[in-house]
Amino acid sequence: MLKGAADTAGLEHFKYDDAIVKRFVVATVLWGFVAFLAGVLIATQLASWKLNLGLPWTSFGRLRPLHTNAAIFAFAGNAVFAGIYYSTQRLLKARMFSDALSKFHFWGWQGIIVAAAVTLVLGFTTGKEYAELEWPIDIAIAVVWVAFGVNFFGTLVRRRERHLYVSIWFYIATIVTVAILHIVNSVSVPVTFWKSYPVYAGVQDALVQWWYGHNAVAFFLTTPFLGLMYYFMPKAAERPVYSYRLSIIHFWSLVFIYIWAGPHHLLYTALPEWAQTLGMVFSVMLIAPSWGGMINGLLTLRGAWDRLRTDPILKFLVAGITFYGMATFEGPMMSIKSVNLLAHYTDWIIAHVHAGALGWNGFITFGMIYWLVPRLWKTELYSVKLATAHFWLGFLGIILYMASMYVSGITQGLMWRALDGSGRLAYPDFVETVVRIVPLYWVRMVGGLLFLSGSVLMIYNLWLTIARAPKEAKEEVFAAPALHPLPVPALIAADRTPHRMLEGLPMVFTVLSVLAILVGSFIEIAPSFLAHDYVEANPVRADGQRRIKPYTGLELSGRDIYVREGCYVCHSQMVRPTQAETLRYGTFSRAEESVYDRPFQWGSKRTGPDLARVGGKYPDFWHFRHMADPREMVQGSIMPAYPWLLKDRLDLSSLERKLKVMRSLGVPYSDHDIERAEVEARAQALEIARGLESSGTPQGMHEKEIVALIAYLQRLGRDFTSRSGK
Amino acid sequence: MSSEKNREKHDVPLSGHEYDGIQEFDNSLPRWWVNLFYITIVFAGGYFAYYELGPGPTLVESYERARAAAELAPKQGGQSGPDENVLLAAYKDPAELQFGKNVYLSKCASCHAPLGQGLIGPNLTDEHWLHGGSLLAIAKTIAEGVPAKGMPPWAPMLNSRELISVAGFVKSLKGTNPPNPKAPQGEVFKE
Repeated sequence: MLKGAADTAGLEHFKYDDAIVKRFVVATVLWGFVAFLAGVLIATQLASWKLNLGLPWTSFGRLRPLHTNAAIFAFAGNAVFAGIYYSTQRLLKARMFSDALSKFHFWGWQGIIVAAAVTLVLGFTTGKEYAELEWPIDIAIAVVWVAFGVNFFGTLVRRRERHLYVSIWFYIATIVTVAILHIVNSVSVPVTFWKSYPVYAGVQDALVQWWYGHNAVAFFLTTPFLGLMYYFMPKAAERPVYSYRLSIIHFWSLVFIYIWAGPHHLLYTALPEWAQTLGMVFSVMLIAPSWGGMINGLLTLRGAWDRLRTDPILKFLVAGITFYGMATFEGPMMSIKSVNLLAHYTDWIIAHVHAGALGWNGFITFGMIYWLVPRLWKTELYSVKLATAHFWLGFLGIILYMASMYVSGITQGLMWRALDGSGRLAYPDFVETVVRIVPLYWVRMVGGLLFLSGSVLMIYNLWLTIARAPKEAKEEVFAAPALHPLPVPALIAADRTPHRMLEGLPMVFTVLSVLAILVGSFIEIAPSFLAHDYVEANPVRADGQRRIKPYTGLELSGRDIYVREGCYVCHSQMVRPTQAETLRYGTFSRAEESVYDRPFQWGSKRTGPDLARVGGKYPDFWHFRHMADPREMVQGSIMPAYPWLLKDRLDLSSLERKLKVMRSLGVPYSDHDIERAEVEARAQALEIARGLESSGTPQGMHEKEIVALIAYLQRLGRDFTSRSGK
Repeated sequence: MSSEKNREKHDVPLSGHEYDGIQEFDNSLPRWWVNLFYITIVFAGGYFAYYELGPGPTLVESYERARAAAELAPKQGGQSGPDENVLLAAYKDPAELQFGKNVYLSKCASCHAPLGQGLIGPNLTDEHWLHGGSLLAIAKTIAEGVPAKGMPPWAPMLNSRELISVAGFVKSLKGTNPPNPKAPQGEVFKE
């Protein structure tokens, strides 16, 4: 590390670590390609089920988490790190605190990504959306993130610029909040090296998970990108930022309000209604804070709008900010209960998130990279024309993507709820609503393909840019005076406003940011820990039994297979209290029903029908044939086939441990249940297999995974079914 | 901040605010933006107060009301249970039987096999019936299902013409002797 040595004029000389920025830039570009490719592949799988290839590793349920993790943590994550490492050093006039920590951060993060890619494909998953990675990787993420934090805050301490620029505020909020979100949501008890159960169950798991999930959007995909925007927009536009006071107001209101909005993912579910309503109203209040960022970004370009015609970097940044404005208007609207009732579980949500992911995160990243690469490699961009072509390909791709998914989502939402004159469902067969939107899945695939080809153009363009760069560029040396702490009276005299003073006190700033995000977190989540009547308790029936019984060993094994195959990415388990849903699925879901569900599997999407009440709806043999080939049972189904469940042996070796872990978390299994776990599970498997074999399946099914999955599916909703209560 | 209004000229960046060459103006907050913020805050407070503290109905209450209203509403073409003459008329009408066959192929064939020879569900082509082989009994079984055995009730899924014609079609399968029949189940039914 180059220590700043002061010369006679009191100036310290230092260099910036741009090697680390280059690494993160390259990683961003490469992982971006992987994420977009995976996206196009799974989009095509929805249009044509054959592309699931009949293999476990290539089926939609496993690849979809791979796509989302690659897009969020690999592509957007590396982009954020590249931007933060570049801008932080310059905004603070200091080299990163430790080159070793920078390297550890980079290689640790890439290792985590590779581990994620391998484990998700193998079916190791927690089944919690955007937090699917199992506990050893979760620990690695926490370690690497803390290393990043130490490196960042160490740089703050060694800074030579007294005041923190608005980008740094957003980086601070990002680093501390992501750490809190990740750690709180990932607390789980390991069963084996690649299997764990969360400490939260059912409605509490749902609440914590969506507090995490929503704020992953807020603090992994929004605040760091706003920080990048505040640096790269004025840099690219060569104009001052529009309004300092708007920065202050929208920063604090954004971080304070955002954290409350998570429950809007759980509207009309069994989550206590006051929490749902809080989630909704705080989402509505988010419009202005979000738009504050958009205004500050767009109006920074005042006086330089003409350059938009010729500069692809500004095109990307301006379009990115505009998509941000659209998505942050749409989000609050979708959080309004009645709108959410139509939009939730449909492709509308998919359109919404891709306006954010492709438009906002993607375009800000591309703009940043086209600006950074020539500067980092001390050369000119190989081709401005290719970059412009990339912009238009990406733009057209997003438009096709969003238009098709809006039409698809609204079509499906309306078909699900449509009743005919006699009060019956107009489309009682779920598959009717699927077949109708398959053409739109093809349009979406074309949109994704355009976006992907744009990124290929970028790779080609950057490759040639870097290839033509001078080989041995000398690292620039910068000079600045050291920062000496000022006594408080001098500080007050120098900084006219309290906020200006705060900008010179990074640790106070950080503490206040943490407090801002803890208020909403505490008010929404704490009652679920503290209040015994937070949800309707599991009632005791006349015969002394609890109404909801723990899963049998075989059912639990089947549930773990359900989680492993990612069934939750297409099937919800949450019937909402509406006429159309209770007609279609049965009585609406209650909180107590998922009291033993670790993780909860309420889901967020209905590419296929809800399964909360599927138990007993079909015979075992129906499920057997349906899993082997869905189209044998449901014409037009787009579900992948799961032939391996009929071949792979059911592994019950860790069942006893699973039950023990469950008991340690409060599930009432007796010693007897635990000791005899495997024996009982084998007996139940044999019983199901006998029934199947008498219908004509091959012999030996009691040893296969399929019987466990059938046992679980047949159990769903059974403890609660008062089917008359439709 | 209102005392600083005279400083709000956007062509003069704030002094002392320069970070790696980036300067900052201090334009005032756009009025419409501030108003938007106030409106959402007032809406949020009012909405929460009305629904969580005040008289606003819960989601479940709204649902129960809608359900009660739907049950009171007069039904058009409601299911009064098909009558024997209507069933017989459809059974004797080749066009209705063809219509029933299409319903059968799309809804029933996955469990009872395309030719009615039985698969997950029983064989429909022999003389044996688990729940009665008369037209009326067949229609009733289809409409109400046998949930305990995995036969769903079809009344919510089929309109009355579909139900009547598919019952007639099922009845017409008797004695068609398709290949690979499922073993007979239930009692022999004779007219």
